[in-house]
Formats: sequence, C-alpha cells, structure tokens
Amino acid sequence: MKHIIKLALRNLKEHKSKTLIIALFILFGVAIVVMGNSFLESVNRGLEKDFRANVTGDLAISVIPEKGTTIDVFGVNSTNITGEVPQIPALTDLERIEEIIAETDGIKQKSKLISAQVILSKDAEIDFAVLQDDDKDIGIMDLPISMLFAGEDGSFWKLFPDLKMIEGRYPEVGSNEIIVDTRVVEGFVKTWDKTLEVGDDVLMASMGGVIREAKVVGIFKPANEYSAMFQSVYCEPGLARSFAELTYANSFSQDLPDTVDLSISELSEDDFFGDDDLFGDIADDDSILGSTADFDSILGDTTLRNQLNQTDDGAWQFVLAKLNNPHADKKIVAELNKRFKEEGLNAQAMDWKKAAYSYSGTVEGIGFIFNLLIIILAIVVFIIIMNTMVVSVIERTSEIGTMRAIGAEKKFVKKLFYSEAVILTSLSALAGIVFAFICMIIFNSFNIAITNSIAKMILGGGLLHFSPTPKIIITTILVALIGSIISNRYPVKSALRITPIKALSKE
Amino acid sequence: MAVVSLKDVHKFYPLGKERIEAVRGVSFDIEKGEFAAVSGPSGSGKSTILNMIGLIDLPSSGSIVIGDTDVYDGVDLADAETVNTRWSSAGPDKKDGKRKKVRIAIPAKLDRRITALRRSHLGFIFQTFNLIPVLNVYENVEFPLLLESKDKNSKSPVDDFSKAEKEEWINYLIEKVGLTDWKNHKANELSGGQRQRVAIARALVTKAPVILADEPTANLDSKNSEQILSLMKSLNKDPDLQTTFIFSTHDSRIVDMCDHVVHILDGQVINDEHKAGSDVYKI
Repeated sequence: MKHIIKLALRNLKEHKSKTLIIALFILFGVAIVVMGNSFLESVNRGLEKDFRANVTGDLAISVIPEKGTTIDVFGVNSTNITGEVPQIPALTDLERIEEIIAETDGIKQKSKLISAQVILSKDAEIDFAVLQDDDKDIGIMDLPISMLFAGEDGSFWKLFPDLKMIEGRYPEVGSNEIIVDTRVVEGFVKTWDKTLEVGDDVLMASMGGVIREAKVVGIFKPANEYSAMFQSVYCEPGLARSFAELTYANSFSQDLPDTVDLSISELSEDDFFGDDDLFGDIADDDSILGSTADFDSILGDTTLRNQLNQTDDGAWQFVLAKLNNPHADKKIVAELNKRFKEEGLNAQAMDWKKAAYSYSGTVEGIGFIFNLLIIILAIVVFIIIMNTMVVSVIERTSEIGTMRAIGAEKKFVKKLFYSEAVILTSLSALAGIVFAFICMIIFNSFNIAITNSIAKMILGGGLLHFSPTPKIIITTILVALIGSIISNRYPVKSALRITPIKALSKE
Repeated sequence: MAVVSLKDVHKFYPLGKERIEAVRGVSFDIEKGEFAAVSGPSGSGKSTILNMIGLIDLPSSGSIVIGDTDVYDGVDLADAETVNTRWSSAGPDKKDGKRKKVRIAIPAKLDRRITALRRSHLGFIFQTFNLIPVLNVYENVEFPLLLESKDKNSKSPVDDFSKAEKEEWINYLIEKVGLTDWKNHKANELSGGQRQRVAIARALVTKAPVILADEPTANLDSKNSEQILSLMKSLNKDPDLQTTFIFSTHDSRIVDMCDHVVHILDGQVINDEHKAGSDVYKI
C-alpha cells in the first residue's frame, strides 16, 4: 500500500492543474459546510441555553395536542387555516402527572406554567391602526405584544433564577401586578409614544378580546441580552388564566359533570331561529315588552354560566422541570411518555426543543434548507470532479495500460485511483477546515450583532457567532470522502476497462 | 524446451459488418534462450501474434502455452471475446441493424490469470518505451516487483529476495543497461535510447524467462538501436539470465541477429527458420 500512496502522491503532483481545480472545489465546499453548520450549531446552542435557562426548563409537559396541531410554550400551532387562534388547553389529571414526576428519577425541580399573548397599552381603547403606520417603522419585535407567562408561586422563580430585575420587585401573590421586559418598555415608547415605568397602570388585551387592567411593578432584562425570544411579561397565575382562557367551562369541557344539560348543544340553528314566527309578534306583544322582570329572566338561571366563565384557579397549561443531568432529557421524556400512555393520561412530555418549537423549528428549517442547498451544490461539485477525473483517465490511458501489461491487477489500478481521490479529498478537506477556522475566528472576534429584528428571531439571536464541533468536522470530512469516492466510481470503472492492447494502440 | 508454444492460433477483428481474419492458424514454438523474431511486412499480423504471445490480446481460437501453462485451457475464447458487459453499436455480433451487447473486458477470472502470467513469465519492451512518467529510473525498474499478488502464477523468483537483495538486483540491472548515473532521473529527463534501456531493465527485473519486444528500435536512431540490440544480445547470452527474446520486427538487421525467425505473411507462417544469428547490429 505504501508504494500505491507514493505513486498516488506523485500523480497528484504531476497533474497539478487538475489537482488544484478539484482541491479548490473541495476546500471551499468543506469551508462553507463547516462554517454554515457551525453557525447553525451556535444558533441552536444559544437557543438551547436560553430556553432551558429561562422558558422551558429541561422538559415540559402539556396535554396531547389535537390532530393537525402542535403545542409549545408559545401557543398552539395549527396547520388548519381557520383563522382561529386556539388556546393551549389546561392539563387534566394534573395531580397524577405530578405524582409520576415525583416518582421519576433524575428530576431536580419542577414548576407549573401558564402562557398567553397580550398587547400592552395605556389607553382605554387600543388603536391598532398605529401598527400599520408606515412612518413609525415598527418591526414585529418592537411591538408591545408580549408573551405573558405566569408560574407557580415560589417554585417558578427558583426554576428560572437568571432573570435580571433592574427596577422594582416581583408581583405579589394574587395581585394584578406585572413585571415587564426592557424590550417591552422600548416597544411601548416606539409604538404608543408614551413611556412605561414602574408604578404605571396599563391595559392588557388578548387577541381573544380579553382586557384587564394591570400595574407595572418591575422591569427586568432578559437573561440573555441577545435572546431570540419574543419580549415577555410575567404576572400572577390568576391574571394569566384570564388571557389563557383557563375557565371552569374550558376545564370541564373535557369532563363535564352529569348535572349539566347538554341537550341544547344537539339542536341545530334552524331549531333556534328557523321559525319565522319566533319574534313575529313580539313588537305587538305588550305583555312581553312591558315586563322588565320577564326580559331579565329571558335566559333563565345564569348562575352556572357565570361560574363556568370564572377562571379555574387550579388550571395549568404546563409542568416544567429541570433535571439533575440536562443531557438525560430524551431518556426521561421517553420514560414519562411511557408512563402517561400506560395510565391513559392526556399528557405529553417534551424536551426543550419541542417545548420551544416555534423557535427551534425555524432554526431547524433553516438548517434543513441550508443543507439541502449544500447537497445540490455538492452534487454539482462532484459531477465536475467526476468529469475532471474522466479526462484524467483518458489522458493516462497509456500509463494504466502499461501497468496492466507488466502485471498490475485491476485492483491495483482501482486502489491507485481511489488512493488519489482519498488523499486529495482529505488534504483539501483539512485545508478547507483550517480556512473555515481562520474565517470563524475572525468573525467571532468581531462579535457582530444582528440588528434586524426579524433576522434576529429567525437566526435565534442577535450575535453572529460560529461554534464548530468535532461532529460537524468529522461528518463534513466523511461526506466529502464518500462523495469523492462516489464521484470517482465512474472514472475508475473507465480506467479498469482499459486493456493493455488499447493502451499500446493509443501510442 | 519450448517456453512459448502456439498451436493453430486464429485472430479475427471486426471491421464494420465483416470479420477480418488477421491471424490464420499460426503454430510455432520458441525454445528457451532463443533470440527470436516474428518478421513480416506491415499488416502481416506479426504485432498481433506478439500481442497474443504477450497475453495482452486474446486469440479467437487455438492454444497458447507459456512455460508449462496452457493459458486458455478450459476457456471458451469465443465467449471471452464477445460475451456481454455493456451495450455497443459496434462488434462482430451486430446483425440486422440491432444493437448487440459486446464484451469490452475479458472475464475477471481469466484476466487475473493472464495478468499474473504476464508479471511472472513475460517482460515487455514497447516501441514507445511506456515508462511510468512520475517515477524515476530506479522506481520504474522496481515497479513490476511492487505488483506482487496472491495468485500463484504471479510468483517471480525475485519475490523471495530480501529488501537489500532486491535493491542490489535492481542496481545490477541499471548498471547492466548503463544508467547508474541516471537512476534518480525521471523518464522525461532521458533520451529515447536511455528510456529503452530502462524498459529493458524493467522487463528483466522479475527474471521473466521471455522478453517480448515490439519494434524496439522503431523510435531510436541507428546508434542507439545498435547499442540497445547489442545489450539485448549480451543479456540473451548471459548464462545467469538465459533470457529468451522474441521480437516483432521488419528490421532486417534485427532479423540477422536472431537465431530463430518466424516469417509471417497475410497472417500465416510462411517459414519457421532456425539459423545462426550474428552478434552485431549492422548500422
């Protein structure tokens, strides 16, 4: 084998221009792949660190989503185009879920979470027209639209201790107090031309039409100043439940008591309004119009309805947990899901990535598109390499034929060509990696920040940073080697078809 | 004792829809230590015969024995030559305008056998020298020794040499062909005559009993031709080597030096002549 490698090296040196063309293709290809994936890795790591530390914990438990939907801590993502914004349902069987968590090894801490989306304003009526005002140039991240989070008293702040309060205090238990992200304060000024300070009263409104008053008691900075995450507001669970529509009605909808009369829900619209005479005589019926007592009681007894519309004090959408070993998340998630399934519970455990899929999914999607483009590029590159090698084989017909004539077996020729391919690819790939590292070191040293809010959200943070890993490097080298061997298959096959007689007649 | 034996060897070549018979039932033996020539005018089939002896071209029928090995014993030569590996629009079996599959490489098992025999039993000297361009003189001579394979037919006496013995043997051959001072030079740094000397040393390095030379002086001037032929003759006479040389040539001066000449015309042997060869290449 030593002499084959020596001969391969000599041939590569002899055919300098071809070697250089192929080497440059591989070098730049490898550099692009390593840099691209290192950037995506950095984004992923940033997201992981950020979300594990501040939002999702190491794992989250929610109800099992309906078909065609997914649930993460930012809401329900639906593939159905209905225009509705579905709310995250409350966990049923919460007590049993907590028992199972307590029985599961490796879970260090847990808390419960409610999430919803709200917009903040100081005016009695929120003028949404301002959001379309071109002069203001308001980006989506500038809006005072925020994720509203509420955690279980005490345990929640212990679960996410990195929140940096820069002014004020945490909300008091049972109050309508909120603490807001510095970005919310900035967005508030930009959108409404009004300042937002500790002690201010604000209106919070949800897309579902829920409006509540709240008092700002604190302003905090996100744990990660380059966080890709939407700006957030924290409040007490009672307030958050209103926006999350965690009412008794919603809680019971999955398990209604027998005392509730459901016969009305079986009636159609025509049953209610199909009769033309339904309101026909009302105008003339003094007995109806003249009696306010009858009008008030037209809907009958609404006590149950009022009770059902109250927020359910025991409702939670998520249980979040931190683990002794964060890397054991997949194993523990699988273990929990197995238990939930065995006991028939409407619950799913998910790792941080799934629990923050609105963000991690975007990054994954970008990674997929990037690698798809790279695959297409690689195919083109390998076709060029194949053509170059075919030309090389044609030029070396005489040499190959001579070798065969003086006793070289086909496998010798095969080994020689593959050795050339492997040596060239390995050396070029190494050069590509060195080149990529130099570029990445330079980029990283500049700490380039992304300012565009959408790019910031899509790219998972505000810092252009590269985090190469051994996995990226080894995978890239292996892919380059495999691609090189595949693209050499046809040229080698052509070389093996060369008979000594063909080689000699070529002279 | 015959080192090469041909019996009723035929060779057909496709030419459009026709088959041309280039070699028509040739039979002759070459004995050990002979300085032999297959001679004839251009197109007589002498190079085809030499290529078949050298196992770089397949006969269409007949028997070729190299040493004590009947090379194509048990081989269906018609099948080996024509059976299918890929589509081709050309070939002897093209009929009725339909594309036929034709073999473009001989069967793997047969290929291994003849490759091994080429290494152990035959040395080649080509008219275009055919050195490996990226290797220097020493490495070119050494090259056949690096092609050792597991096939028993591939075994050369030199394979049992130690590394030092091999080095000594290669240096001996380089000295014998007068290129000691040039042994670190690459092929493109040598003259035609020097390249042919390297080819001779390379042909001898496995101690192959038979050296085949196809028009060895075709690309050399008279002086170089004389030196090369004298060198070959001396190697032929060397009692340690006792190498058999077989030339394909129409150069009468080479024919004069040979002690066995097979005269070919139109693919047939017209005279199998044994005579006393001269030791001198007459310029």
